[in-house]
Parts: sequence; structure tokens; C-alpha cells
Amino acid sequence: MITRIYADNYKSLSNFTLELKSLSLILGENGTGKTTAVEVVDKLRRLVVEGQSLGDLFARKSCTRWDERLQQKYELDLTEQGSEYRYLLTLEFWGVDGCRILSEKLLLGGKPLFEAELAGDGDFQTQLYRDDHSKGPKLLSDWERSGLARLQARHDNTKLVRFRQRLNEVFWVTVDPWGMKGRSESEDARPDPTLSNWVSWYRHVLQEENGFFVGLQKDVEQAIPGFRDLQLSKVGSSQRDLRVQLGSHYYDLMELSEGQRTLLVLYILLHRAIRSGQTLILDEPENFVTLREMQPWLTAVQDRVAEGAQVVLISHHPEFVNYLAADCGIVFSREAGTPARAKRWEESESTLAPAELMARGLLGAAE
Amino acid sequence: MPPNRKPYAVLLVEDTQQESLLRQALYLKGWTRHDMRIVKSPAGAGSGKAFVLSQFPSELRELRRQLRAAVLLAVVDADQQTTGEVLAALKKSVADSGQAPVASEEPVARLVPRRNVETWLWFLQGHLVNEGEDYKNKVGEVGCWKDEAARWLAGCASSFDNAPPSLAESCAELQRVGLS
Repeated sequence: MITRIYADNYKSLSNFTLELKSLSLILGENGTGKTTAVEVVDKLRRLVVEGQSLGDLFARKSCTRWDERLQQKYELDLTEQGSEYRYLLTLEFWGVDGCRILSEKLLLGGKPLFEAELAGDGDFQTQLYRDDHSKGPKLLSDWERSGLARLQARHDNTKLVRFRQRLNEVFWVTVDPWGMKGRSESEDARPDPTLSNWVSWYRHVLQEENGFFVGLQKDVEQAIPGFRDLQLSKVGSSQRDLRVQLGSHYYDLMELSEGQRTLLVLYILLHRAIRSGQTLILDEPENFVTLREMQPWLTAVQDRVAEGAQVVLISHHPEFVNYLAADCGIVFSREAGTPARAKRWEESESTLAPAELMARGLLGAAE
Repeated sequence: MPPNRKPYAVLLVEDTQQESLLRQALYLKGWTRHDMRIVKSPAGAGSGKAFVLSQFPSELRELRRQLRAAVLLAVVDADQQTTGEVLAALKKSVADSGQAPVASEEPVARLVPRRNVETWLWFLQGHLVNEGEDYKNKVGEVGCWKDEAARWLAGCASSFDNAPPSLAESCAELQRVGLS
């Protein structure tokens, strides 16, 4: 589970800490940094797990406008099976559009598993550690990419590898029913952030997991009246079109309403990305969903969280806010030109519902 | 109503602990997520009792409109009060709303865990309890409570050994809504 995100000098985040629980609801006015805070996690995942280059992930213009420093710092705390990891990254923008890692570290219980630093002589050196935290090899590395991403799994670096595997089980998505493609050209192992490729992802999941559809079907039948089946129809050597059976007829995915497409995806996410050992960060999942369908999905999420999953929701909707704010709300706030702040929803003597407090601009205001 | 379709259940609760236990019990008896509506105090701990007491008459009135087959389950932690005092408060809230008292044949369950729902949960996890003590710290964070719900229903179906009185009394209430 991700327990803490830290960012300094990134957009509206200055010396900013966000602490997360197994279920968190992030709320706040527009422009208060909600999406900015969680996108940090996805960038770090892409750096550390996928090995993407720093320049593709962090742009100079992402530095906080009123801060003249050219260094950014990021930290991520993650607990996995009782182990507490801390990942630290410091990067620097240099020259016209250069970006390099100044320092990258991974600690477990405060002890090092990996350290990479730009030395005074200009060399970028990596010190590897074994599972028992004894020093392993030292090598020269590339400051434009995470050294963690390139390490091969060995018998003596299982803890580092476990961190990377757990980080790979973090999904950050927003549901955009207009961006969905009903045709899959190939299987995709991950959904992309807008879920435009979810059919390709679903195709991959079906290959990986026998019986996946059976569990999903039961839930979707209750959420979408008339739902019976999902079929991947072959239209080319590798192409498949998703067809949805409602009643006795089959429809192309894009013939369904936006709400039906959204519900389908929400339940696929429930069954495939909200499991023990996974973290799902979902931005405004309530768009296009009828009131009647929100609470059933939320209670299902709650049950999955109780079984070990982690979910972070960003939402403005009263149904989500009233249901979750008191237990796990995190309120973001920000004055124009100042850093974002985040604090836990505070109990107050007000008897107004949280959504009503939001509507009146009294978000989590302490008295 | 389609055959085997459960009546719509409204769960009027103070907090997520109460909700989770009750929801799991309903699932075990065949309700689905779409057959229920959770009305939970939105304002956090400490004000949940006032919320349930204030909302109970509205939900009762809605049930009595009989727009569809429905059951109402309300949970109020006794805290420092007795079960009788809490039931009297619920009765008064109904009377103050100008409605007739809840009749024995109406599908309404008034559940009053004493000292609170964590007392029930701790007992259902296999421990002896004293209704004067607070077991919140022992029970901890909100859980799924599937096993606890199963033991609750099983205890009501047969017998509860050493159950706290408020839990034993809950069985008759569950019976009114088809849960026991």
C-alpha cells in the first residue's frame, strides 16, 4: 500500500506531503492540485518499473512557477507484506532542456537497497545492496533513467524486486467513455490512463485468468439491465471487436450509452485492479453513472479494500463525498499563486452533510 | 416483484462498522448490493446517534408508503445508555413526527448494540465481552465482517452462548425483517 507521497517544486506542490490510507477520497475545489499529487505516483512508476527516460516524464516547465530552484524532489513510501519501503528521487534541470537524476535511493526499514548519486567528479555512480543490506557491486550508470528499472532479478535482491513488482500493481486511470475503442489490435498488459485501450487490456486479462468473466458477469448483470455477455469477435488475424449482449441482441461497444460503457469499465476495474496487493487511483469515476449505481459500486470497493486492496478516489460527487468523506476524506486547498495543501477531513459540529459543506465552500473547515 | 427478489433494504446506520456488519448479514441471506440503500451518518463519529434518531421517522414514513416491498434496519449504539433508553428515544422520535409507533408486524429492525457495535464484533470474533466496556480499540479498523455476520446469523438461528444481552435481543429484530 502507498502510505505517503512527497513532492517538492513540482507544479503546485511545494514541500508537499500526502498521506494515504487503504481507502482515500481526495476532494477539493478545481485547481487545488488533486490530480497533480496522484500523477506523481504514475510518473515514478513509469520511471522505476517501465524504465522511461526522465526527460519524457519530467519537464522543466513542471517546476513550481514561483520557485526559482531547478531541482525537484520526490518520495514514495510503500508498505508491502509488513515491509516499509521509501523511494527517494532528486532530479535537476540543466542547460536548455536537460534533466538528470542527482540522487535515487531505495530504503527498506531505513536501510539501503539501492543508491545512485551524481558524484562531485561528474560520474553518476550506483551502489547496489543485497537483501541483507550488505554492499554489492558499484557501477557507473545513466543519469537519465532509473537504475532500479534495469536491474535483473537475482537471488540476493528479492526485496528490491518486490518493491518494483508492487509499484507495478499501481493503476492510475480516468474513465473517458468517448475515448474508448471497441476494437482491439492486440493484447495490452496494462490499461492506459484514459482506458482507451481497455478492450485490449480485457483481452489480455481473459487470456491470463480462466474464469475472470464469470465473477464479472454476476456484478455487471445487476448493474446493467439485460446484460448477458461480452464477446471478442475476430475481425482480422489479430483484431477483435468487443460486442456486448443485452437481452437477446449483440451491440458494438460504442453503441452502448456512455453510462453503460462506464459501468462496464468500473466493474472490470473492480475485478482486475482492486485486489489485495494492488492500488487503484481513479479520477472522477462517477461521471456518467446514475445515482442508483454509485453506492453499489462503492460498497463493492469498500469490501475489496477490507480484503487488502488500496483505492484512491478523486471525486466531487455528493454521493461519493457523503459516503466517504468522514471516514477517509482528504481535502485539498490552494489560494492562487500559492502551494497546494492537503489535510484530513475534520469532524465538526456542523450537522450539514459533507457535500453541503463543500457546496458552501466550507470544505473540512475546522472551527 | 420477481420471484426470489428480496425486499428493498434500507440500512440506517451511524458509521461504516455498523454498515459493514449489517451488509454482510444481508448478503448471506440473499440480498445483493442493488437490493439495498445505506443511509449513513455523513458527519463522522460522535454525531451518528443523533443522525439515526432524526432520520428514523422519515425512513419509517417512507416504508409505510409501501411504494415497494421493503424492510428498514436501524442501528444505534447504546454508548452510555441502556438498550431500553435508546429504544425509547427511537419511539419518541416517531411519536414526535406524528406517526403511529412501530407495530410488531412491521418489517422494521431496531438494533441497539451495547456498548457499541464493536462489542458485538469482538464477541463474534470469539471473545467474552462485558457490555460496560468499550472494545473499539480491540476491533480496530473497519473490516469486511463476513465471518462475524455468519456467526451472528448462526447464533440467532440456534443459540448464543454467553452472548451479550443486546446481541441476543437483536435476533427477534432480525426475524422481523427476514434475516433470522
